[in-house]
Amino acid sequence: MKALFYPGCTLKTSAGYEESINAVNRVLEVGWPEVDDWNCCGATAYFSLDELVSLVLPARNIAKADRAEADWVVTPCNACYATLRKAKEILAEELDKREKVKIALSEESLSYRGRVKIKHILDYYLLPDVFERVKSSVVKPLSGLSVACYYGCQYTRPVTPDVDDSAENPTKMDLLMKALGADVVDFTAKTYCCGAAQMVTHEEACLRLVGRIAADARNKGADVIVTLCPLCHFNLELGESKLDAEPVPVMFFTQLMGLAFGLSAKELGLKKLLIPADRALAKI
Amino acid sequence: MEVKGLLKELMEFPGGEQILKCIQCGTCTGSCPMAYVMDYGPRRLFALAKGGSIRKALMANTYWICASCYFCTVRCPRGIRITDIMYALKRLAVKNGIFPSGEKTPHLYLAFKDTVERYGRLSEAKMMQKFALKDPFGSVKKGALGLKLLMKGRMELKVEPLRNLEAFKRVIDKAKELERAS
Repeated sequence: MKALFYPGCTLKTSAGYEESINAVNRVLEVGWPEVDDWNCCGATAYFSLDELVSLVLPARNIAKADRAEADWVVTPCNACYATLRKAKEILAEELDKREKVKIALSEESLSYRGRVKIKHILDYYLLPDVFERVKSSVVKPLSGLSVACYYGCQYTRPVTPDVDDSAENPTKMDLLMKALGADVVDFTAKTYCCGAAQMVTHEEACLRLVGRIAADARNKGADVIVTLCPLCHFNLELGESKLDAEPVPVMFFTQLMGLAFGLSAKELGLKKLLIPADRALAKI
Repeated sequence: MEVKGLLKELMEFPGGEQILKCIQCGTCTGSCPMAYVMDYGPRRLFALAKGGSIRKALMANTYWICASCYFCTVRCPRGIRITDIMYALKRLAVKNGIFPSGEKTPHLYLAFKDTVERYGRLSEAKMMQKFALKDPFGSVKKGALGLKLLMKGRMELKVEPLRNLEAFKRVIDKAKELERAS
């Protein structure tokens, strides 16, 4: 199966997500070239403003992956993941829109077929053969560390054919963290909303959402909240920094993979975190 | 004329006609994490729209506050894609120049769109600069955060546009032309 990487616009500025993905991929000896000259997926903003462009933006990336004969597009961002697979679903159902998208893409000699599967990077690491390699790469198990796996909304919602976990109670990150040796707490808020882009325009409302998520993690005894999306990570860290309660550090799941693989804090970009995780990680 | 016209327009959006299936059970509002700051929860919004008060519905902040968590959509017993109706309402409002007073989200999205159409990719720094014109006070407060992120290596001031930006723009322009024609 040939996979291409769709990083999305926010990976570069995320707190060590890109560094840790590259570092664990080197250990696992996996990797995916980027989709050629990829563009922004459009996210929730475009669905809100201009429907046809909101479909053309993801379709252009999918068409580019298709032209490179990829079977999968792997993405580390929930919003990109949801946008790409949602556009795919709409274009499979509504043929008039699909025709228009094809006409627009022909301006760049691209063609859309909807054949490529969209895969979240977490799901890639859970593929049976890759997961075996993950397990055998653990040299420093995370025993002693309690983690709350936070999936956010768009890893599983809306439900489209490419989704491979439960809409409200996903468990794949739990499985991965257990394989790394961590204790996984029963986390009620695992798919509660962080507020997404509303953090900019409705900060007070979103702080309450973040407060609820963090309180659930804290009450369950989690040392760290683990995320799989740049925007979820940003909102949780920023939100917790503004709230009164003792903040629970928020890390990307690939950073914890890296620690279990024996990689250094530097290789995993841990110094970019706003809430230092040192004290929590000392428990390992 | 306008009331009927807008409702008809909403019906013509994909999924827009689904609001007629709503049985007013309230599962959507009960599942909505943002309902507590909305003028009306989604259930009441649909009651207004179905009842013909679509202009009143469009003047509410409800659909702009929707954060696209899709809880309502996965739980609706009638299978209504509620989040998509919220998107349809947003497009309808922008198209008709209806902006709920004090609601800044449409301006954030327009700043997002402007950035993407200029470079092909999103730059948070460019988007926030553009949005600052619409939210000067809030943006001064956010400036300190921007500086902190910059020092942590989490803010890029330079944008790397697409290699083939011209071709990208042709595709987008064509899509807009097709959208206008329909």
